[in-house]
Formats: sequence, structure tokens, C-alpha cells
Amino acid sequence: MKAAIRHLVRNRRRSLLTLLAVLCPVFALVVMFGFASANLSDMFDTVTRVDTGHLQIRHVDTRAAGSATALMQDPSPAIEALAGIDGIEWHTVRLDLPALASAGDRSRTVLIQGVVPEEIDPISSTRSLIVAGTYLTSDSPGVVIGKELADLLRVGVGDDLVLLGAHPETGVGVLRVPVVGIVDAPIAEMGRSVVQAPLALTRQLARSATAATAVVVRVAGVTGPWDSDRIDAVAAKLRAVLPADYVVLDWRDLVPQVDVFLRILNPALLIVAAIFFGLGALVVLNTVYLSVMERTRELGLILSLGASRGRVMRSILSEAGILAGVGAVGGALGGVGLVWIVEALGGIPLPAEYSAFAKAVGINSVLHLRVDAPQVLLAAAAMAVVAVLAAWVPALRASNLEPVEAMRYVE
Amino acid sequence: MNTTTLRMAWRNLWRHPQRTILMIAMVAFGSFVILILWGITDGFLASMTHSQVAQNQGAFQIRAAGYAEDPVPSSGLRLDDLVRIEAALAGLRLRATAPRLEVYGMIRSAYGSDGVTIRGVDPTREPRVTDLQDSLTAGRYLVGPGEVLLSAQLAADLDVRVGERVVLLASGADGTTSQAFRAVGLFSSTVTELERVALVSIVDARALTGWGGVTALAVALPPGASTSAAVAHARELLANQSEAEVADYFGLNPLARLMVQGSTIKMIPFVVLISLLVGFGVANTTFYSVLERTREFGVMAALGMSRRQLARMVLVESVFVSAIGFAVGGSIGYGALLYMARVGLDLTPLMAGFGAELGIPTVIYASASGLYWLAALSVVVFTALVAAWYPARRANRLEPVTAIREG
Amino acid sequence: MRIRTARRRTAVLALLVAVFSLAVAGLAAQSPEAMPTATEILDRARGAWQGDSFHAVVSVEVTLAGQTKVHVLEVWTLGSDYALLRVLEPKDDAGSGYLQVGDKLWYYSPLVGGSIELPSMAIGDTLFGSGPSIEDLALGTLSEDYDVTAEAIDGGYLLTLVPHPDAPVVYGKLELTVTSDYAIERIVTYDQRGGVLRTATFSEVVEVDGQKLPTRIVVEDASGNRTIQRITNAEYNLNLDPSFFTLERLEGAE
Repeated sequence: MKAAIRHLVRNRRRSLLTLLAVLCPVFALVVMFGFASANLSDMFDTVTRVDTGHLQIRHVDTRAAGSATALMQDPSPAIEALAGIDGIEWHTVRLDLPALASAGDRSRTVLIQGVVPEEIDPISSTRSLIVAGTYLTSDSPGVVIGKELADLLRVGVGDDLVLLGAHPETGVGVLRVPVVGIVDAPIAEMGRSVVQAPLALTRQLARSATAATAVVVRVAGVTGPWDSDRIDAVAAKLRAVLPADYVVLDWRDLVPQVDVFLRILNPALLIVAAIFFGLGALVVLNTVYLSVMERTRELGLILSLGASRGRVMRSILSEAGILAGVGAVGGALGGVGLVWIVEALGGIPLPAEYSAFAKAVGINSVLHLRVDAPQVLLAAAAMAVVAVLAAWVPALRASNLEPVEAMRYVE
Repeated sequence: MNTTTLRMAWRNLWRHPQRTILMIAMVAFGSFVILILWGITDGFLASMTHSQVAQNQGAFQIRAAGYAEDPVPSSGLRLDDLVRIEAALAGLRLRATAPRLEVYGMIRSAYGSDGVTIRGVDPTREPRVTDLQDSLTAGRYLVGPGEVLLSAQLAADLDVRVGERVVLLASGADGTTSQAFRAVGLFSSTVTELERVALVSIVDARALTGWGGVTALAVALPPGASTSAAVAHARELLANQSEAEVADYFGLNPLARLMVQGSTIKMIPFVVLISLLVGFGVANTTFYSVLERTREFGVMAALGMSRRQLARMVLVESVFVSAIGFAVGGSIGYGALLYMARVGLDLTPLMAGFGAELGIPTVIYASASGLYWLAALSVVVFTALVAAWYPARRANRLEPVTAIREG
Repeated sequence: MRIRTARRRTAVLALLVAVFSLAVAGLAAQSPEAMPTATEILDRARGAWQGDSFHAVVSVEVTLAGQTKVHVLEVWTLGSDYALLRVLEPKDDAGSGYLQVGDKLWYYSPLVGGSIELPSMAIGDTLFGSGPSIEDLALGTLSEDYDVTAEAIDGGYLLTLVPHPDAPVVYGKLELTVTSDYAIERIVTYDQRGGVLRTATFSEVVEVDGQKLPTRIVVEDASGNRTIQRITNAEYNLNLDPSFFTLERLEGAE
């Protein structure tokens, strides 16, 4: 071992190069994982943040009823069930009511989202999308609507809307409320059809002081689709304690598109990862192979001086092992360090055009990086193994040569 | 740079064909991967655009000026306007046009009701502009009045089956009107907006709304025609018809442009990382070849070749390698993309039976038309840069005498 | 193809109007002759309520998803064009009401503080959740929309109403059970696959001002939701004229 290190230090340049050859691919792999995972968790977070949550507790739906969600007369059993379960990060009560919004002779069917503004505001992007007026508070007298709906109904901030709640289970409720804010929704269809209102106001429309359509739940410690075990565990616990007429729907039930999309994305990322591993391995292999090949002559000399083949092999492999180990650890540290620095600085800000898009669909407008331990270990171990294997083959060949032959050897 | 350097670099490369081929393979692989990644991502976006155009919108639409701000039938185009517009468009090479009358209303079944966009179409002209008739999951396409085509999703929400009756309501000139329609077919589309669209004959839509005109003229272009050129041409042709305006794809889908830009930006880190890896691999290999040739370089320097020339030669070697690799990877990459653009990548097995119902294309056709080689070119640039950084620098630093002794 | 404008269907309060129109059926003289035609039975069962005025207190008990709520309403109608409905109970809803004049409809609530004209497209939704949708029981266009066939059954007639192919009706068919003295006993609504959507049962017939009125109407739907209407203090032929049906009255000013 000492001899190996001495030897490495003596051939500083070659050692450094081999070290770099392992370090660089490990670094690239860790960073690649960082980008890929961050992309996935960004996407997952976007869809599950406020609207869908990681899971929802709803009332069982017994028959087709248009776009209406079955009504819970009182969500308190669900909230009590949540209180008895660990690992809940956040929950809020929602009352989604199909309704007809009208002003003057113009009307349009909309979905009223009755929300507790103070609960959803910290994690929702709605406030940042307000283009006129203000966002809601629990005791706002009015609603927030999309720009498109405001145009369709020809109303502005301060104008009144007549809302006609039309949930098949609540009957017709009527409210006249002012528009307190107008949002520029990311998707025109949303801007035309979604109205956000304080929960209490929506309940007036449903003619009930307690009604709700869903309790939206976020599970603690969930950073991406890979944490769905935690969600499943919480869902299972909830199902065990909830009355029979409640159902627990997780994000896969609620946004099946995303589930399917991830199903496509996972193999795609696997392929990208495989490509990176392949390229990284090629780089490692090439460099280490060449560095040992270069020593063929030197090895012949050592052999001719009476060293055993086994000893030659051992020395080459231990040298390669040390370099690979140090390189892999260095690359991993470098990659993790970069991820850490980027995160400490709050992510990589994206160009203005992309930020506009990101803001519009409510996702991060900075690029985040994240890696976890298995990814880093996998990258480091794989490259180190390739390095040792790459040293093995030429070493074996050299030690099998007759010393004279080896000394004469020219690649 | 003189040709001698080029020739020497070229000859040097082929003194170790095995090593050179390995380097070329690395560059080729990198370029290939970048091309494929980019082409498939672009193809995915393009297939979303394609579904929009093919199933929902047409290549572009002619609408009444101001309709976008106030999308109700009465701010649509009158029939005599339409006649003039169609006459003006005669100068344009197009596949077909189809008039539409859209109005927002409600649909009602025995089980519920929902808001819906009622789209009145001409049952014979519309199928030449959009191909929704190819996406039916049950029943048939519209033939005449009294029939409605619904999305499978809406039909499920309202529990409607083919052959059953629904009632559509719309605000007409004199109050709310309602009419019975028989669901003759259900379609499934990857375009989510179509989920809440009910297609009826334009005759019915006129009766429901009491408006005799149209709200849009959807235009389809012949295969391969450039949409942007056609839009520009149409705008020119309609320049003196102030009542009409041309709405193109991005005008109808402002979010789409942002999405395309967004996904392009997210590709960049991957491209940079791949280029970096390949560049490093090639540079490392070159470096060994420089180390190996130390004595040879010393002799060359002693014979009067300047250090700068030596460095340049090393640089040219790696540029050759990456250029050949790029050409090989590029041609294979474009070949693969062309194949995938024709045959498509069938993702159905990954979707566990979902897919089309959820607004995700089940078959992705790669795009082979873009300038992806520009992105792949970054491999070559990186290789040259990294190679210039240390192997060439080493060659540049050679002292002839020590070099000869050391080697 | 038939287009129907809102006018004939807008009768939001037609729920009640319709119910009472059924009630007055008893008026019709019993006919001893051979079995009348299906349309005759239907017409007689619907009665001739047009032009009649009516006033009553109606309690509506709604059972939805196992929970029951009671609404008490006071109702005035004049023909099919005028109706006024005011909520007496529950307390938090008291004072609110609906006014229909022709094809226009207003809603008033003390909480809102003014009358709101409702868009006509909304009409047809149920007033108190579950139960009959307003226009479902407004049988005003029955003979226009449906082919009627009748058969004699024990104690009366069974009318089967199948909608015309182009009628703006979402049901498969209706079955009306009518007594031999032309009082409707039951209306069963079927979907287009032959499943029962809901059943309305009329009972506890009393005689008011010489007219037979079922004072208990139970409507049950397939998912077990139920509304029970009880009619008390019914009066016919009051001295009401169109000037009674004003926004001021809706808002309780008079």
C-alpha cells in the first residue's frame, strides 16, 4: 500500500490524469442525477401542491353527476381521522361547487373552489398571478376570477357577479358577490372556468354551514414520486379509521395523467442515466487502460528483476484501486458539493422567458438540484469498478508477457 | 494553418487506429445521444401541437376581428363576410376549409348537467380539416342534424351512451333555447380542451343560437406546407378585409410557445454534461498519445517545428476525431430520428391501458426536421476546448532536449 | 328537429304549479262510458288549472345522504305565468324567495339585500337538492313531447309516455298511474335504459274548495334521496291579479 502510494506520487501527472478520469464521470453522473431528480420533483410538486394534494378524503360517489364531486355534509370525521395519524404535513378543507356565474345577460358555468385562503396561500401561486384587485382572505366578501371569465362576463374588480350553485346534492343556492381580484391564469380554460371563493361564502351557496367536497392532504417528507410509499402508508391508515362512506384518493387516482407521464419518464430517465454511465465508463476505461498500457515496458523491467507476477498484478490493481477510490469520492463530493452550493444559493435562476412559463404554470422559476445517497453511491461505485476492471485487463496481459517481450513492447 | 499540419495530424491518428476509433466512437455516441434526446423531446411537443392542429383547430383559423375579446356568436363573421373571405383565400394553396359556429352552453342528461362548448360544424367539410373521425371510440361521426358527438370523458361524467338522447341548451337571441340530440358517437382525444366540446351540425347550432353566421373558418394546409408562410400569406390576402383576422397556432395557444421554450432550456444541462464527458474522454486519450510521443515531439521540435505548431497539430488531431465522430453520430442519429418520425415510438405498454383518455399521445413521433446537429455540435466544441486546455498545452511546453531524454 | 325557447320551460316554480295542477284533476267529471283515449286521460289528469289562483303553505322535507332538512314555504300562483314563493323556514333562510313573471325569474334573500334576476339557463335544476327537478314535474308540455298510450288497470289507468324522438327530454319514458277519477297517484321516471330514476307518489287527498288535492307528495330517487312535500292551508280562487306579483312583494316591502 505504501509502495503503491509512493509510486503514484512519483508519477504525479499520470496519477492525476487517471484520478480525474474517474472523478469527472462521477461528478457528471451526480450532477445529471441532480437535474433529473429535481425535474421530477418539480413536476410532482407542481401537480400535487395545492389543488390535488398528495391525497384527498372524499365522500363516496354513487352515480354520474357531471363534473360535480360528491358532497360530505360534514368533513369533521375526516379531520378527526387526520388528527390521529402521524406524518401529515398539511391539510385543508375544500368545497368545489359547479355553478353558473352571470353578470347582466351573460353567463357561464364555472367551478367554484371554496378554499381557506390563509391555508392555501403560503403554498399556492394564485396570489402572484393577481393582475387586478387583491387575493382572498377568509372573510373576503367576494371572489377571485380569471381574466378570461372577467372578459366573457364583462366585469372588473368591484363589479358584482351572480353565482348560482348547482350541485346536484345541494340544490340551487344564489349569491351576489363582488369580484375582489382577477388572476391571469396559466391555462386559458382555467381562467374561463375557475372561480376561487372563501370557504364560508361557498358554503352559503351550498346552503350548508359544514359541507365540503374534499379534505386535501399533504404528507410530510414527500419530495417526489419516489416517496409515494409514505403517501400509501398514510392512505392505508386513513382507510382503516374512516367511516365506510368516505374514500381516500391518492394523487394517482386524482391526476392519473401525471402517473402515466411518470411511467413514461422513468424509463426515459433510466435510459439517460444508462447513457451517462456508458459514456462515463468509456472515459474511465479508456484512460485507465491507456495508463496501464503505457507502463507495459516498465512492468517488463520489474518482472525481469525477479518480481512475481502476482505481486505486479497486486501493485497495479492497488494503485488503480486507490486512484479510482479517491477519484470516485472526489467526484461524488464535488457533485454533492455543487448541488449543495446551488441549493444554498436558492437554485439556478432560469432565463426570463422560461421564468414566465414557470410562473404561469405555478412551478419554480429556478432550476433546483437534488440527489440522494443511493444515486451518489451508485455513480461512485460503478465508475470505481470500471476503473479497476480497466486496469485489470492490460495488467494481466503485461504480467503474462515474457519480461523481454514486455520491455520491447511498443503499443 | 498549413496543410502539412493537417496531413501530419491525420497520419498520426491512423498510426493507432484502435485508439482513434475508440475516440471517434465516444464522440459519435455523444452526438448521437444528444440528437436523439433532442429529437424525441421535440417530437413529443410536436405531436401535442399536431393533435391540436389535426383534431381541434386546423392549421389556423380566420375569425372576426374582436372575436377573441368577446367570444360570443354575435361577434362572429356574417355569411357575406365569409363568402368574401373564402374568395380572397382562393389564392392560397390549402387543403380544405370548414366553417364553425361555437357557442357556450349546457348539456343535460338524465343524470346530470355540465357546461360545454357547442361546436356547430359542417359534417361533410369538417372531416377534411380535422380528423376526429379517426379517434372515435364508439358509434360514428356526425352525418346530419339532430346528432351530437361527445368526448368519451364527458359521456362518462353524464352517463350517456351511444344512441341515447341528451339536451343541449344555449343562450340564443331570444332567451335560452334547448334541443334534443342523439349521441351518435364518442371520441377520445389527447387534446384536453375537446373533453368539454360537443360537436353538432352547424344547422343545429344556428337554430340554437339564432345567429346565421359562423364564429371561425378553420383552415387545413396540404402536407408539408409551412404554416407560418401560409399564415403570412393569408394575412396579406385578407389585408383589406378589416372584419377578419388570422389566428395561428400560437395565437390560439399562447402557453404552447412557452412550453416549447421551457423544455428546450431544461435540455441544456444534459447536453452540456454529455459534451463535457465526451470532451474529457477524447482529451484524456489525446493526452496519453502526447505523453507517448514525447520523444518524437522532441525530435520534431529539434528539427525546427515550433512549439505552437506542435500544439496546433495535437489540437487538430482531436478536432479531426471529433469531426469524424460527429459526422458518424450525426448521420446515425438523423437516420434513427427519421425512422422514429415515420414509425413512431409506441408508448402504450408503459401506460398501463391509460394514455389517450388522459391527454397523452400514446405514440411519439420523433422530429427529424430541427437543427439538432447544432446542439450536438457542442460535443465537438467541448472536445476541442478541453483538448486545447491540457494535451495541447503540454505539447506547447515541450523542451526539445528534455523531451528527447525523457521519452 | 324542434327548438324550444326558454319561455315554455322557464316556469321555475312550475314544480309547485305542476303539483297543484295535478291536484285539481279531481275536478273533472267521472265518465261512465267506455275507456277514454290516452290523451283524454292525460288531459283530464292534468286538469284545467290555467287561470286559477292558488295559495298554500308547503313544507318540503329533504333527505339527502341520510340527512334531513325541512323547508317551509308560502306559495302564491296565478295561472302559469305568475308565481311567488317565500321561505318561512329554516330560520337562516327565512324571508328569501323567488318570483316568476312570464319567463323571468328573480331571487331575493335578505342576506344578499336585493333581488337578483336569474339567468334562464340555470333553470331546471332542483330547488332544494335531490327530488324532482323543477321542470321534470312541470308537466305542461307532456302531450307535446310524448306519445301517450293507456291501459286500464285495477282501479284506474296506467299511462305510458314515451318521448318523441326529437323532444328535448332526457328520459326514456314516464309511467303515470291515474285513478279512475283521474287523480294522479304515481309518476315513475325511467332513464333511457329502462332503469327507474325516480318515483313520485301522491297521497292524502283532501277536498279544498270542491277540488281534490293530494297533500302529501313523496319523491324518491334511485340513490335513496327523498323529498316529502306536505301542503297545508290550501286555498283556491283567491282574488289575486298580476299586480300582486312584484319585486317589492318579493322583497317583503308589502
